[in-house]
Amino acid sequence: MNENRPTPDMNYENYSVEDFAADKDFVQWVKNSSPQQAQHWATWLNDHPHKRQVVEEARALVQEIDFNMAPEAHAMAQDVWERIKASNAQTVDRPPVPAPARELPRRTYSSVRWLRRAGIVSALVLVIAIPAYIFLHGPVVYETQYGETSQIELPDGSLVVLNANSRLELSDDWDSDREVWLRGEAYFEVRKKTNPADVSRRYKFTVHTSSLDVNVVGTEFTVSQRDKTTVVLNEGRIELAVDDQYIAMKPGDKVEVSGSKELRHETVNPKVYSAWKDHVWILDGLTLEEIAVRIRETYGLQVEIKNQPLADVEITGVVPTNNLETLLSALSTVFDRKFIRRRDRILIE
Amino acid sequence: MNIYSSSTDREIWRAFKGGDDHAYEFIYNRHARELFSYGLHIVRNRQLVEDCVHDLFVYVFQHRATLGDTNAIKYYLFKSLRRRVIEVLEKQSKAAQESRAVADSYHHDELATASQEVNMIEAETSIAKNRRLAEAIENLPPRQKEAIYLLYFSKLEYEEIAAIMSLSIRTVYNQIHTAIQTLRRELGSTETHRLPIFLE
Repeated sequence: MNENRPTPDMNYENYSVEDFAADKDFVQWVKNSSPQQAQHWATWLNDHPHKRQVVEEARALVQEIDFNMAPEAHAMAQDVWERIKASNAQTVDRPPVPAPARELPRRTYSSVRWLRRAGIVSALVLVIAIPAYIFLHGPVVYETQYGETSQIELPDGSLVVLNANSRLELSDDWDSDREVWLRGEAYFEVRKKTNPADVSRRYKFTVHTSSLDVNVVGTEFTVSQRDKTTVVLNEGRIELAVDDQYIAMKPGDKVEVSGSKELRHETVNPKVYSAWKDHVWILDGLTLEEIAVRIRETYGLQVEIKNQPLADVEITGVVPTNNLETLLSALSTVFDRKFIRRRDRILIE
Repeated sequence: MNIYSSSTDREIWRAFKGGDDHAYEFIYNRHARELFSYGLHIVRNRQLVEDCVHDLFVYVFQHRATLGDTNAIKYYLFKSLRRRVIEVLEKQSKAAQESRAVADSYHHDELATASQEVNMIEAETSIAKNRRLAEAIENLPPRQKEAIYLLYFSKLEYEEIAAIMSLSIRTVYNQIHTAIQTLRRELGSTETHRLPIFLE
């Protein structure tokens, strides 16, 4: 490096025209000389009068070799800035995901169809009460706003349905083990992926949540989560790793992990927990309290229950979640209570 | 005029990473035109260069929280833009299944020639005062042309040019030296030119 950019007083003595013209400092001096540089070269030339002719020729050469700004650069800069602003606004307000109809034109997301697909593990990872989480890796982020779900096809062909008010970040490497970072709630359909060079070697699929990981290898799924996390398995087999403890899950199992590592393991109808991806809520077995929590998480609205029911009534039914008005009206009918919207809160009377 | 005009690159970059949109816009305004000029210099396809610059700035915006520090923003942007342009060209050449891949041909110093064939030439990016010299610059092997462009016009350091072009500093220096020899010969053979014939 030093031989390329020698200190002037040492080596300029032996410089040819080309040497000068290839010297960064020399070029700098010719192209846009600062007073200090001008002074420096004037002094140097005074001390080396026999180099004057070489320097003059090099200087003329450097002046001749001139590049202009591309004439359209200015217009391009203006046009592209508008595009950049639009793109950035989109990633802030909406997830950078094409509408489902465009992205996956023939997929209906009926659970039954999903479950029939071979080689697929489906699981619902429901993450509740997540502390602020910093995502450290991955170039692609999908985010959903309140009241919005998003269907995402991952680079390996796996599918994710991201529920409202959630965020999924992808790793930038999809050629080996796969990784995503989740905050909120998502439904995963993970494809098997094997190493092309060694088919016995399966690539892991890992869902990182705020403080623990879910590992899926082929048809096996491992979920781990501190704080309060709910995992419901629809199909396949998964394993939850909570610290050193492993819990095998079967389809229909629901495991809830609270902050104190307390585990609740029960059997449920998994469709109740994944119905939101089909834009409905299945109310079977849900209490009014649970509905209130869902409304808060999905739409970002505070929910106030005015009069608690004397006893939890077993409710069955399916309500559409496409828009809040329809949902509230349907819930009013099913629960036989009034669901009233008051600005950013819901009153249940 | 701008609050960042007298800030160092490191300060501006930190502000941008901290979520300051004015810093982001300042970075764009300071470097965009040079980036477009440079992009057009390596591939004469306006749409492609626009897309790459767009993607680059959207990428840094989305990932600003996790980007590393830098005290050489221009270098970072030039290097990133070049990588993106090459990636797109490689993809295009794969998609087209050309026997003579653009990416390969690049390494044989034919990138500009190859892309000239498929893309509209929209701009003359190097215009020397001397027309003969201008032609000589245009006819330089792309790598020599790019290196001398980065030194003379973009005013980057040798270390930065080497990193941008994935070459050693010595190689960059040799490319520039060779280019200058060629151009000097071209100038010297111009009879109207005032330069004395002088050899050490």
